[in-house]
Amino acid sequence: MIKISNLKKVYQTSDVPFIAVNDVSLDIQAKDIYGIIGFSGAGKSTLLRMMNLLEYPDEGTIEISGQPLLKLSNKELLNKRKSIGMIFQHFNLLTNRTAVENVELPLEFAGVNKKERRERALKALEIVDLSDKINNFPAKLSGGQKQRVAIARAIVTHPEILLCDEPTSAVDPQTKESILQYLQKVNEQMGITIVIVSHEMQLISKICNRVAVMENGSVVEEFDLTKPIEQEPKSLISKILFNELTSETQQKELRHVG
Amino acid sequence: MLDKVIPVIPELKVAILQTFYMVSVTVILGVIFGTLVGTLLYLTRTGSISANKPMNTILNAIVNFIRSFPFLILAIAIVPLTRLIVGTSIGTTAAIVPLTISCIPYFARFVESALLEVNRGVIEAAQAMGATKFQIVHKVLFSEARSGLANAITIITISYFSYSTIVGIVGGGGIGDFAIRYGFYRFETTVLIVTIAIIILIVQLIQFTGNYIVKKLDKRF
Repeated sequence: MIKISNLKKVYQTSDVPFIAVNDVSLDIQAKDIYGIIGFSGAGKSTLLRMMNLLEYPDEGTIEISGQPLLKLSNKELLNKRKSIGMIFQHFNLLTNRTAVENVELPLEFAGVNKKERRERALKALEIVDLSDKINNFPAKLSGGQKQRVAIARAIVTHPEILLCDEPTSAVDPQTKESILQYLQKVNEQMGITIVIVSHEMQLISKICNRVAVMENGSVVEEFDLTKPIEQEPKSLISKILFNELTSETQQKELRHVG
Repeated sequence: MLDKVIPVIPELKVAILQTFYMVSVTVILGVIFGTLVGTLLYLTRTGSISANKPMNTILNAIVNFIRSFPFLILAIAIVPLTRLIVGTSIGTTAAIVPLTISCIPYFARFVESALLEVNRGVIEAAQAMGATKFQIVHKVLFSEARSGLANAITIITISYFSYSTIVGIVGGGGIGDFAIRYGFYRFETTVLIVTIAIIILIVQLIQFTGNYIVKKLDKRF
């Protein structure tokens, strides 16, 4: 589904070049819920943003359903993006549009007529259980509700893939799990492949079937969570994930590094 | 007291209409072309969706150049241009030329800053949806900046209402010219006071309407 080979992204800072993503290769299968975890600054978001070319890699290739993204013309890329939904940490809803108008936006970009737009938007809002809030402006919605509108907006075009950039990091602790449940729901019901980037590793790994651990721009480990973990966790993050998750010392250690 | 005012009412009416004519044409043209220039200023900035440094530098230089003229000097300096466009350099229509030329870069700066207020994340979300640049400008930027733009239109309307009084100097007529002729040259204080009262009323009305529209358009809170 998403095949990433030897991806590299370097930022030119004033003094030294900063390698945000270093030689990353991943193979994400259709219908996966694929987690990319790691501390802040590990390069997770940059990696995710290269999957729809919001960010261009300096080296390497990205193939989506066998189509090499970097070989697409501008017009083809805009078209391809219509089949790749995305949600963000800070929701990025249009403040001057109601919930349903926000969900209609990608359909407007795709040239869908008004009547069909409204029907499809309402259906998408139903999936995230927001049928009673369709005419609310984002300012009148809670953080969790805003993220659900964002999910509806991202799936209204029936994409193959949904990219999630820290989807739970800006919502209340009580709401985080519900956001994940909706992601799981669209994965199961609509067969959408999901890629989630997050530093909330324990939380995210609850719904992922596979997880990649990133450190300093590289993927250091990859786990298949559907099978019992046999490999010995190497990195600090995976140790925290798979050993005693609540141990006092590790929490301290984690805070130290983070 | 009123005996001083009543005889000049027909002339005052003409003056008000002239002002209305000058301000409305100036603001309409200023908004159309200013929006175009302001949007280009925004889009060509470094880091924006159509970053183009040479183009941005040139646009900025032109905008700053025109903006640096005090209005009265601009009105005099571009007399040849005015003559070329409207055939004469005197009269109400001729006065619209310098008004519009100074209004365009002024409004462009307002547009640029209103667009800069738009959350970058929202633009990114639109890019991720596969929106074209035109769609982003049209459906995202203008929609998100609409209350800021309405506020800017209110401000320039009042500013150009004020500037329109200066163009009396090039025979522009209007309510400012009327006030100078009666209040200053003929010492008709009553007429001057009445005129000032009308001006204040009009400005209040514009501001009130503007505020109302801005409030209606703004859904951020």
